[in-house]
Amino acid sequence: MQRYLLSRVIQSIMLMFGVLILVFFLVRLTGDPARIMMPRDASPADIEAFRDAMGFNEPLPAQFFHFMTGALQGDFGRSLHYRAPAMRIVLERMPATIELSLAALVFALIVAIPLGVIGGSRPGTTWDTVCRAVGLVGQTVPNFWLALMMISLFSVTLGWFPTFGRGGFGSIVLPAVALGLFPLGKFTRLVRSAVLEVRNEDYVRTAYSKGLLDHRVYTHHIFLNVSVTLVSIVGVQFGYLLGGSIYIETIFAWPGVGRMINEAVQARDFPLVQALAFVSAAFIVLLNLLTDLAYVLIDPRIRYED
Amino acid sequence: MMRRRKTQGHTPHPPRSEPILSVKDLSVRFNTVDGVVHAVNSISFDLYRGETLGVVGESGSGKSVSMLSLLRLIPEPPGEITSGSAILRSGDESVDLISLSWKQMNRVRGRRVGFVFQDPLSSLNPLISVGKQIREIIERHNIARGSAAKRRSVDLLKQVGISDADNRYHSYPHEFSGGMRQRVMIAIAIACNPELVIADEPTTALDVTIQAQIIDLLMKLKREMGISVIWISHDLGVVAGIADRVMVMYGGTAVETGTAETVYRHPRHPYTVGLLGAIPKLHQDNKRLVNIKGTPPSVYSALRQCPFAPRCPWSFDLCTQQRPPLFALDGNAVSDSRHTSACWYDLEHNTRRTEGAV
Repeated sequence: MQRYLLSRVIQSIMLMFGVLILVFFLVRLTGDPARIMMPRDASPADIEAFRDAMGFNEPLPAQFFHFMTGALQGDFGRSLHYRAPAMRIVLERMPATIELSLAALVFALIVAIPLGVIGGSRPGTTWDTVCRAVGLVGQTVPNFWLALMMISLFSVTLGWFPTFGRGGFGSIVLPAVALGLFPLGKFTRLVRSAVLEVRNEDYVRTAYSKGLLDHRVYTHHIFLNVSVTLVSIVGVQFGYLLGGSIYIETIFAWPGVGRMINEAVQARDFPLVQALAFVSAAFIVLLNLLTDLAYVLIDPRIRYED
Repeated sequence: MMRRRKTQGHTPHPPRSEPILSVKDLSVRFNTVDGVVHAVNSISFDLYRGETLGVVGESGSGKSVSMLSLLRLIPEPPGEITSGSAILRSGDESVDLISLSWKQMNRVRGRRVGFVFQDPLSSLNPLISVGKQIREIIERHNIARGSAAKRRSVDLLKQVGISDADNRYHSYPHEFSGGMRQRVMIAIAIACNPELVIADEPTTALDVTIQAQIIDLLMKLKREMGISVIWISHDLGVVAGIADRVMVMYGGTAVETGTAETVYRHPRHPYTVGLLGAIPKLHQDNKRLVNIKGTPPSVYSALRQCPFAPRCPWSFDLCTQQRPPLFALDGNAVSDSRHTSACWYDLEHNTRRTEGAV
């Protein structure tokens, strides 16, 4: 168990190094970074001065060394747009994104788990049809469209929620619902199909043969096994959400990293883009690690497979 | 190989009163997209207290489905019990299992009837420790709660021969060998002192040396606890060794019933004759095994004739016109040792029957 944990942590650290290398070279791959970052009408002298200031005139290995030593200390350079350390700005924005992602995830799970279990346990019934419809709609309706419709109905016409911004419980409802729609559809389908599969397992028949009541069979025998599948998808999905949703954060003017990615790319703010890419990747790696840990906690068979 | 272990399993025949389980006219079908599968066609049998009934037949003969359907353990839908009754008697109290509500059924399962399934690996939940899986049934039926339930679970593990039971309580099924897992299944089956244990091919997934251990264990517990056992198997040797009475199934029907002794020594149904003839015998130098020609009947059509008629060397026109009823072979005395055969041809006297059904 400890060896497994250690090896997974080491793997994750190596992966983050790989991410850093990619982040460094991707900017250089797109051509002359100074020319890309500077406004199109900048004078050659200005570009040259900028190139000097950013260290782009140094040999590539030296640049790489500077970048890596800086990055390992959390220094990704200064944001060109905000004129402040890029990493600090990203970390300032992260809580808003984490908050929204968690809210979206909780909303998706609260709806998807009961719905998926009900649909999967009664295949062919009306409940199952509802479950499958939600799965389909959730995965196919564009969330920015839903966001606009909800603003128009709940904020503008009914006035129940603020139209945009972050502050108080009311402000998070609409963006969380819009952002949670896709994972909701995905989880519903996943839970339904997992329940359909698990309920035919021999150990479920054994559970019934013991005289256990339906709810106990579902909570202790079926759902426990479904959760193994669910945990893996929830982890990956949460990682995606933490990368920030460009559309939803932009529509609701939510001050998270998703909106910032949009701004940073438009402003050609490369230090900021690099910091954002690194932080997003770090969260995905971290969540994968946590997912693997959750597996080990749920499924005793994984413990010894080092 | 026929193992006849006369010394174990067979209980001396006490004067029997009423059977503890009477199944009458049980029919089960599966409504599938390919059509209706007639899995069990009107079978009837009795089980007496302390007795082991061996149910033998090939795959698809309906032996498992018929026994599992008694406790509604077949998937419904597509499964459907279309007729029959199954009276479970205990003292003066008797219930018809088929007409019980789901809630009432849940009080019978595990409490009055225990189960041992074929594959102990897939039949135990891989994510729950074996101890908890035993404890669960004890707490469900209010035999004991909390630490008392845990103690009883550990005792049960000891009773089924698992050493170091205190620590093994916390083990998971994958940490056990096949034989040990089946011992855990047996511990679950007997946890609430049931009157009846249905063992659905409990040794099929195990290797031969372990098979013998599991058979011995179940028979020992049966004797000690006075449990009646329905032992489903396609292994005629195993059944010969342990069963007091045998029911041979073919095409979803019971074709022959009787004491193990009678059925094995004097089979009176052509299918049983063919089945016993197909067993290799050590003392005979056979060049080739005798087999039953043809294939089992399609289960997609309702049964209107003898299911064995197409493969039967003795069949005549009546066999394909009318389904044979059960004929009593030892007079009409209704007793637990009654020998019956569902065949229009009287093998004993080499004559065709027209009447005399039970």
